Amino acid sequence: MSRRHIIRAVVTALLAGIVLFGMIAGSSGPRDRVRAITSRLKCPVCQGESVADSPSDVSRQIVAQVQDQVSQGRTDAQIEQYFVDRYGSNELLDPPPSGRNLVLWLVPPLIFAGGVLLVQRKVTSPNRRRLRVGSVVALAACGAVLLVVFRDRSASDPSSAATPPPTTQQATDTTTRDLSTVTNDEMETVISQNPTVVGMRLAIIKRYIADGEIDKALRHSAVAVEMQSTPAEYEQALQLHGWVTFLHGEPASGAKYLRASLALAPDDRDSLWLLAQVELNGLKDPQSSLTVLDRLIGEQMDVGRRTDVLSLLNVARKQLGLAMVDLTTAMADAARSTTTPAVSG
Amino acid sequence: MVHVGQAALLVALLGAAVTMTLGWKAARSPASVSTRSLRVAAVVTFLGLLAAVAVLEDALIGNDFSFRYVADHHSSASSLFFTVANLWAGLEGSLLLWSAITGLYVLMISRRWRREDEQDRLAAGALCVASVVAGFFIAVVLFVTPVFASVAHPPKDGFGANALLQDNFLMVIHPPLLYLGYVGLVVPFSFALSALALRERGVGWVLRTQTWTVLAWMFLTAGIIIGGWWSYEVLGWGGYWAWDPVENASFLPWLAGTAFLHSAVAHARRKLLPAWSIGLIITAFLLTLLGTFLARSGVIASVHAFSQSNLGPVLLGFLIVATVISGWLFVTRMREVATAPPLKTIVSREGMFLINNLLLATFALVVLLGTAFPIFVEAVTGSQVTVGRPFFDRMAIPLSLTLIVAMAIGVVTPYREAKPADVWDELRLSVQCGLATGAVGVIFGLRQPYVLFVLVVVGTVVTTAVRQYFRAVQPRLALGESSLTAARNVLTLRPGFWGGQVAHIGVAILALGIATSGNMADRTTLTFTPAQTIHADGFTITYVHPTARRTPTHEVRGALFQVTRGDATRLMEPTLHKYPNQVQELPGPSIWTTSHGDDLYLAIVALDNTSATLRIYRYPFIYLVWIGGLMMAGGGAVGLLLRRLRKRSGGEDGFDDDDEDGDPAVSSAPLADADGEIAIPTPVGADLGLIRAAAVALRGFRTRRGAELRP
Amino acid sequence: MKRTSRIAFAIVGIMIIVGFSWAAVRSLNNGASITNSALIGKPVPGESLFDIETAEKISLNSPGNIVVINFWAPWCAPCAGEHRMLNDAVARYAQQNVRFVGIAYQSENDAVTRFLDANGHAVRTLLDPDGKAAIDFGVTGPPETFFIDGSGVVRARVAGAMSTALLDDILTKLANGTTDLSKIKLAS
Repeated sequence: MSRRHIIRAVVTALLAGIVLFGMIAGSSGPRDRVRAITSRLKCPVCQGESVADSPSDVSRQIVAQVQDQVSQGRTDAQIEQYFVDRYGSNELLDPPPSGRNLVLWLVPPLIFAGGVLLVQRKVTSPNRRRLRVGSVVALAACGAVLLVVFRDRSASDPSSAATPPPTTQQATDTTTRDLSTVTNDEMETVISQNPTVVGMRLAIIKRYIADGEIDKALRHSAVAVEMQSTPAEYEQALQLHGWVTFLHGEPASGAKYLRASLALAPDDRDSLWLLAQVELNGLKDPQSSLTVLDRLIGEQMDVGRRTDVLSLLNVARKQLGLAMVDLTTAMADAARSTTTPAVSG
Repeated sequence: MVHVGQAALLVALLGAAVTMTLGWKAARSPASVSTRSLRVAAVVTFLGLLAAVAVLEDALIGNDFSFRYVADHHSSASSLFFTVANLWAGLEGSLLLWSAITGLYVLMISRRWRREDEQDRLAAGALCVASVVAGFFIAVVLFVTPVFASVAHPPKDGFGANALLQDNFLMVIHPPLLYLGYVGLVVPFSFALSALALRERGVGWVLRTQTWTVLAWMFLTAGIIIGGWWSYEVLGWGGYWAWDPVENASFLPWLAGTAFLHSAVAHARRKLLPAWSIGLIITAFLLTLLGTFLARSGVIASVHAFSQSNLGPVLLGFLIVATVISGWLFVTRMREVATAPPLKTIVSREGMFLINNLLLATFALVVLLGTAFPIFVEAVTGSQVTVGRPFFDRMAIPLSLTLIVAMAIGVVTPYREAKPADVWDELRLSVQCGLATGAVGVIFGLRQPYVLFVLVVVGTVVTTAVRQYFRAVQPRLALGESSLTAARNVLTLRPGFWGGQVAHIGVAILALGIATSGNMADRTTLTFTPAQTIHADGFTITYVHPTARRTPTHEVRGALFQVTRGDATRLMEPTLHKYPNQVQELPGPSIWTTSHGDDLYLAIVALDNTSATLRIYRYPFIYLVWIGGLMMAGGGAVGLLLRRLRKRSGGEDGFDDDDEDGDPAVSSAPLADADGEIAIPTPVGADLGLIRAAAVALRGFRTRRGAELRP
Repeated sequence: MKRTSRIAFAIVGIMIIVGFSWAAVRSLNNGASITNSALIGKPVPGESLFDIETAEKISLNSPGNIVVINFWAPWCAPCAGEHRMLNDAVARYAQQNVRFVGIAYQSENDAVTRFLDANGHAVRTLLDPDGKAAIDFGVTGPPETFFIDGSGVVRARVAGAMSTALLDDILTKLANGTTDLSKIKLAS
């Protein structure tokens, strides 16, 4: 080999190395779970578009739901199942590879294999061996691609996905995002192993509240308010603990913690809303509740929440003997922020 | 007036029937039919259709709402341009346009019939087949979905076309282009079927239809690309291709047509792959019919699908009849018609064509599988299933990547037989350039596997094309030809090859655009209050104020944003459009193609007095998709143009020289120096040569245009 | 082509043609079914929703009663006629254990009020401002109606406006204790 050949080979290898480096460096990026899931869901009011792509209202609500469920630590499969249970199996844009759907997975490689055989028969080369090797290589490559894809799909599933990054700016509780563990028990184990991590505790408190297991929630919230944490976490811990103590039957204590939380974040609508309920239903103090609600009603919120607030407001006003606010007019005034109609079927 | 239209269609139907009969007779014994009568019948068919189109256009322009079609699809508020385009805004009108284009092709075939040969049974048979197709569609617009129906009590004004199809130039030209492409496939199909039916051996049918194939493929490509562009500009979901059943229905014939385009080259030049050629063109045409059935019968729901009608069973019937007849002919006659010399090795140009056919056919079958699977599942189990983007992407990505690699290799592979080592020698410099392109990308911070892969292929394909050109020009320059003459001679010697090169570069650029916009996009959804400023994806976006206005046809609500990046500032106004005949507001995205090469795409999600919710997408280099796509179609045009030029300068008719030595550019070993490197001529002169060649080509085209159309 | 492969080709081709035609014809004739929903046979989903007039929270589960849940929207044209029909039905079924509930789907409240003023207030109307109930029911577009039997199980779903005859047919069958309603066809 001449020097020229060697230089050329080195240059080629170097260039290939750089490109390969770039490819490998780029192949392990963070994954946006919400987008990944919503792009596998069919927008129910559109045809063929995914929820991620569709601008329709329903799709936005589904995205919000998925966001919620992701931050609750549910797996991709669970979230997909949630929507299949409601919209049916045709809600999935990518039918899972089982049962009759296996056709979709097996027929393409069979077509390809058939084609390779056809080509092999067509060629009348005396050198059959090389041809056969070529065919085997082609089929093996096809199989490898299929395998990678299969693995990719199963890997895109549950908790194996490392730390899903925050998805949109609206997501508030970044603390729970990496908690994709499945059951409460597993979460308990993790917490007992990492007793100083506030985020996990806050997450499990929310789960227990949702499950109605107030005693368990209280055990954690009592710890959470005593822990070292960031101001945001502390504020949330106070808020949750306040609500939990109220649910546990101590409205006075609950109101105290909620006010403490509000002192840290005066605009926290959740705290205001919880406090209003505690004062009205727990402390039987419609006047204070009304003050809180009046503050809350000035804030921006979606129509659902506003309806809740307005009806609580009316209950309080009724107890005080005040005139009721007309719900529809109030909604009409405030809730022009509702969205425009979506697609009709 | 409705009756005039019906009468015109009836005349066209009669004309088609007569053409069919005469074509049949002429195919059996050419002497028994006079050229004149055959051509008159074809002309009558076409004129009848032309008159029908004219009647409908007249009714549209004259706001004659006693026509049901006009009342349903037109409103007097439409501008003249869109009024004319309303011809294909509805199912019946678009079918009329479809029939008219078929009629045009029937006319073209009839002018090719050479009775003088006494032997031209092939064209007569093709005419018979094509007029059956034309007659079917005429009958459909006449009886099944009558385009000329009257309204008992004409309304004062109509509803207008579907709002999505209004007010966008792209959508106006998309359907006719697509139909020209779809229907254009009828010419090679008719000739292929005729060759089978008449047991005609040889490459005659391929040679005679190559122009039509290229033309149809060109229109189909342009139509699909423009459809995607429209989807991106108008639909507001931020994409251009959704793997929607109707999109697939246009993609399927394209895949089969592209495969046919390639095997036809091997067939015409080397008499190779005749069975593939015939099989592929039949498949392409049947897929066209299948696509029509899918899009228009209501068997599948789709954003693009026309509403349900009793058209479905009729189209299905025709599809089945066409499939049975052509399938039967293919199976029974194939052996007599298609005798091919043996293929010695896969490492050869013909072998690469075979691989291309295999990959494209697999691609088409996979897309067909994904599209038809839900229909089967619903029929068998009654339950519904959706096959969407994830499935198609998963299948399409490996297939497309393999295809473009095969494309890069195939061009430099010589005919007959080659050693892999020789092919590598040919390709090495190109691959090095490709790798260098990729490496530059990496150095500039590119880390996307797919993008880098495609970038390497782009570098390789472009370098290969440029090298091929220099290699071919070099000996001519050495012989003392001016660079202009050399360019002209080189390019016109092999119009098909150079057209193909342009198209291949287009494919590579398109692939790059798909990879960059798909893998490097940023997507955010943000809510703004007036005067609020948010930094997103490198842009500073300030919500100025909401806007509202009224146009003659509809109401527009919008949100004005001031967007800044670096020194550049833009006012962007994404909008929502409310049409009277539409419940839902339609999005009007606002797109800024920045000097960095990326698109900022703003689309409104929700808008009220207090806030605006916006989808903000940033797509790097998405315009490469349109450029690459149109360049593919342009490759077809270049091929046709060069061919015209070649014929003008007294050359032979045809896309490529059929000399036994194969490609002069590839197998011209003496050009290479001892190491297989080529001595590159002075680049300046060569560049000028290219430019001058282009100028010559243009001038040639201009002077030709006035001349008669007939070859 | 060899004889055997030719025959194989022909057989495969015929199978594909016959199969496709059969599937396509079936799909073309496929009338909508009223048991085409993932919810059929499952308990009624959803939390309680607010009544637009009394601001009470109403549960959709009403043991012992057949519940007809109609999703509608003021901007949906066929909903108006159907709503009037349901309002009449409220009176007709007053003596039976049938409750009618309308859920306003993604709508502004004043538009809902105007719609009710125009088409009658007899059907109890609940609000679903964030579309949560619609997602829970898998609603694709109004009007859509769900039938819940006395044990709180979803038995039928009708997409599109219902006729009185269809409503009566379903309610009669449900009142008789029929659980499988797949035999009922949507009138064309």
